[in-house]
Amino acid sequence: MIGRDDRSSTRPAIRKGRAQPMWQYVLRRCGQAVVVVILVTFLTFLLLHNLPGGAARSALGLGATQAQIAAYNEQMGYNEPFITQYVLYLSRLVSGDLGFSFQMNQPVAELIVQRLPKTVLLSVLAAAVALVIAVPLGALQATRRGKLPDYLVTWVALLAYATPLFFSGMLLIVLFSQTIPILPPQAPQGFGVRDILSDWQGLILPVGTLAIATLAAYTRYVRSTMIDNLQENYIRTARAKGLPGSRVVIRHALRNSLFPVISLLGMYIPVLFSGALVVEQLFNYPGMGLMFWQATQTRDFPILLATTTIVAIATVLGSLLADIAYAVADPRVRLSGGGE
Amino acid sequence: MMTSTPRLTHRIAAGAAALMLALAGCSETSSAPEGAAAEGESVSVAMTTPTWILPISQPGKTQGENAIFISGLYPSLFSYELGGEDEFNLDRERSMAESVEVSEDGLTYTITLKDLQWSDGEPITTRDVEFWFNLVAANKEDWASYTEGGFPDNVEAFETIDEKTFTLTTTEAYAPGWYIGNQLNALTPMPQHVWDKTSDDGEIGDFDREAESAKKVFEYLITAAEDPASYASNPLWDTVSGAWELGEFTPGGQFSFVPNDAYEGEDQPTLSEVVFKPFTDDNSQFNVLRSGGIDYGYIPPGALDQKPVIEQAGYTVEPWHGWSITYMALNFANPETGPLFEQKYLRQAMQQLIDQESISEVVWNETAAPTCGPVPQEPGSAGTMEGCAYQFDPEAAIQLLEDNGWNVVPDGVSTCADPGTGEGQCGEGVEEGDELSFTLVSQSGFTATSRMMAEIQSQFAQAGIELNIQEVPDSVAVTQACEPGAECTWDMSFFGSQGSWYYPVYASGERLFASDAPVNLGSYSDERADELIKATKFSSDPAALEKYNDYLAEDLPVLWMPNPVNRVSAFKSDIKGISPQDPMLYMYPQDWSRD
Repeated sequence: MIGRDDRSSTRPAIRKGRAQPMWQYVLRRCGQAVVVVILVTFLTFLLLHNLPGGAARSALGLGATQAQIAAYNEQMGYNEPFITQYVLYLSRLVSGDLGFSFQMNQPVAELIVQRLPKTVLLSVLAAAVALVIAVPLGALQATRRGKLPDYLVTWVALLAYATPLFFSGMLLIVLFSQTIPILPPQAPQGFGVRDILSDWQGLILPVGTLAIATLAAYTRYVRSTMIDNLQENYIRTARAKGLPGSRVVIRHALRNSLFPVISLLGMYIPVLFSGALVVEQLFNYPGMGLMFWQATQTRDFPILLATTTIVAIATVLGSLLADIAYAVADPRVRLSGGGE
Repeated sequence: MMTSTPRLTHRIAAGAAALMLALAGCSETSSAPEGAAAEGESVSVAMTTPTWILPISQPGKTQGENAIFISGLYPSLFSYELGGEDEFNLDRERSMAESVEVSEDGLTYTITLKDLQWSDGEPITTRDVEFWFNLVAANKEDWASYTEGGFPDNVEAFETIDEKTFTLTTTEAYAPGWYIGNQLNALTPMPQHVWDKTSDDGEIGDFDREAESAKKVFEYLITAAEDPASYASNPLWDTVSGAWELGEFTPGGQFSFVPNDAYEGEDQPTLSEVVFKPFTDDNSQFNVLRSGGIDYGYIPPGALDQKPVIEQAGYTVEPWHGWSITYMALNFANPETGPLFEQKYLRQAMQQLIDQESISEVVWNETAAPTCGPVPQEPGSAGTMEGCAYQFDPEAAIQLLEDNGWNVVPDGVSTCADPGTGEGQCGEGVEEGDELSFTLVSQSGFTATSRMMAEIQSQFAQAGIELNIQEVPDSVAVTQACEPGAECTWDMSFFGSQGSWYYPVYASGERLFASDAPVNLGSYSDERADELIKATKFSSDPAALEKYNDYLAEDLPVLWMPNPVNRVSAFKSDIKGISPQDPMLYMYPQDWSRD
C-alpha cells in the first residue's frame, strides 16, 4: 500500500534559498508530470505490445482462423509499425477514446465511468476510517512515547502493516462471515454508489481490510511528525505560557502534525483510481481493481492500457497536488529548487 | 498534556465499542450473509458474466458462460447427450427438432421441428431456422465456428418444405454422426419476425434473403449484442425460444433467468428464478460458498482439501467431468527441437515416462483420469490406463533411447551418440551431440499442475531428458500455433489444468490434429492421420472414429496427460437434478428443483 514511515518520500524537500513564484513552481511540476505520463504510457504500450500471442489471439480465442486474425489486426491497426500504433493510441487517448473492451463488450471509458466511483467510494471510506483512528492513535503514541501505549500501538500497527491485505481480509471473512456470521463475505454488487451504500453491511469488511493496512502507515506517520513537533520551540513556549496540556497537544502540536498528512493523502489518489486490487478481488467488489484483475486474466489490452494510463496520471497528479498543497501550506517548500 | 491523552483513549475506546455494538445490533436486525435469502424456488449460481447473447457466436465469444447463457434463451435445434441409446447421441426430448433423417445417398438431411412457440406466442417455424442460416451464410467470416469448407460452405441448398420441415443438401456425403454432431449442432432458430430488420425502429422484412441486406441485419444484431448492459432492456431479447427468459442483467454482471411461460418443451422449469452471480476470482467465490452465500458454486483446485468443510455446510460436492482430452503439445515447427520431436521413438519414450495413473490418483486426488488418445474416455470413468497404447515404463523408455543411438545420462542430459537415419541411429535432422533438453511452458496457478510437472520432470530426468519448466499464467502466454515463416521457439507446452480441449459430441480431430487445423498448436503433420481424420468426416464406416483414435493414440501428435475434471462443483444438497452434470459443459437449470 502506500507510505512507509518515511517522510522524505512524500514530503517535499525544503532547501535554503529564494522562494520561486508559485506559478513557476506549478509549471515546472506540471512539465515533469507530462513527461512521466508519456513515459509510462510508452512503456506500458511497449510491454503489452510484446506479450506473446498478441492482442488478436486474445480477443478472438484459440480457435480463430488466420483469416479472422488478419482481419482483426487490419481493423484494429495492429499491422502498423509500433510507433505508428503508439502515436495513434496517444491521439485517441487525448480525445478521450480509451478503446473498446473485447471481453466485456463495452467502451473502456464507459466501464471506467461505471466502476471508478465505486473504487473511489471504497478507498475514501477506508482512508477516512483509517484517518479517524490513526490521528488520535498517533497522537497518543507521541504523547506516551516510550511507554506501554506507544509500544502497544506500535506493535499492533507493525503487525497490521506487515500482514498482507489478502491475509487480513481472509481473517476478517473467517471471523465475521463464517465463525460469527454477522457480515457478508461479498461486497455490495449494486450498480451505482447509492446501491452500494444501501447495502452498507457488505462494505464493512472490505473497507475494514483496506483501512487496517493504511491505518498502520498513517499512525506511524502521525506519531513521528507529532514527536518532531512536540520538540519545537513554539510548543515549549505554549507550555511556558501555562496553556493546558490537552490544548497544547491538540490545538498546536496535532494541528501542525496534520500538514504532512496532506502529502500522504495526495499519494493516496492513485489508490483511489487503481482500486485496492487485492481487496476488490477478495470481496468481489466490482470496482477498477477487479476490472483490472479480470483484464489481466483475459489479456484485455484496451482495459489494461487504459487503467495503467489512468493510474499513472493519477499518481503523477496526486503527487503534484500534494506538492502544490504543501507548497501553499508551507512556503518554505517553494524555496529555490523546492519540490524535488 | 498528561490529562488529555487518557480522555482521548477513552473516546477512542468508546467509539470502537459503539462501532462494535452497532455492528452487532445491525446483525440482529439485518440479513445474514448474502445469499441466505435464496430459498424456496430460487437458486443462486456462481458464474462469470456472459458477454454474448446472439446465437451466432463471434470469435472470442465462445466461452462456456456465453454458451450456457445463450442456450437458456435460444437453444440450438439439437441437444445431445453422451452414452444414450440414440444413434447420433441426440437428446430427443430436449431437442427442438422432432426428427432428422438422412437420405440414402447421405446428401440430404430432412429435419422436422416440434410444435413449439416463441415467448410472444408466435410459432417457431422453418423460417426462423432459415433466418439463422441466411445470416450465417452471408457473414460466415464473422462466425466463430466457421472453418473454410465447413458449414455453411458444405451446404448445397437449404430448402423449406413447409412450416415445420426443411432439408439441407450437402455438397458431399458426410458421415452422419459428424455432420449431425459437429455441423448441425450450431443450427439455432432465431425470431425472424422480430429480428429481421436493420435498425431499432426499422420495419421487419425478408432482409436476410439477400446477402447485402443480410449483412446489414447481422451488423444491427451484432451491435445490439455488443452491449450487455442493455440485454435486459432491449426489446430484441424479449422474444426467446428456450425454457427461460432474462429476468435481470445488471451492469454489475449479475443476471437471472425466470421461466418462459410460453415454453412448451418437455423440460419445463420448476424453479421460479435462477440467479447467476458474477465472480471473476476463485477466492472470493469460494469465500461466499463457504459462508453458504450461493447455492451452486465450485471448489477451486487449490482448496480441494476443504471438501469436507463444504459438505458439512450442506453442499453436495461432485466433480464435473468433461468430454475432453488433456495433452502436452510438442512443437514440431521449432527449428532447434522440432527435428527431435519428429522422432517417434523419442515421443514414445517420453510418453512411457509419464505415470498418468499415479498422477491422477495422488496429485489430482482422483479428480483426473488418464488420456490415452484423441477420443475422450467415458466421462468420469475410472482412472486406469487399461487399453492405453503406452504404459508407464521408465526402463523401456531408456532402452528405446539407447536403441536409437542416444547416450543416456540419468539425472544428466542425454546426447545423440550415433547420428544418422539408419536403424539404431538418432534419426533425420538430429546431429551428434544434440541434447535432450527442453523448455516446458506450463500453467501457473494450479498446485496440482505444478506438482504434476515436478513429478514428470523427475521421471524424465531418469532417462536424461532435461525439462526446464517455466510456469506462466495462461493469460500471459497461451501457446500459439506457429504461423508459417514466423519465429517459433517454444518446445513443449501444457495448458490443461482444466482439460486441454473440449469436444462437441462427435470427437473428431479436424480442428486439432489435421495438418491445417486451426488449433494444431505443435504443427503436427502426418499423412495417415489426415486420411483418418478425413474418414471420420466422410466415411460411412462406424469404426472410423475408432481407427482414427487408435492411430493417433499410438503415433503421439502430443503427449497424453491426465485429464482433470472441468471443476469440482458444490451445490446445496436440497437441489435435485443438477447431477449428472453435462460433459459438454452446458447447464440445464430447467431440470433443477428444490426439496
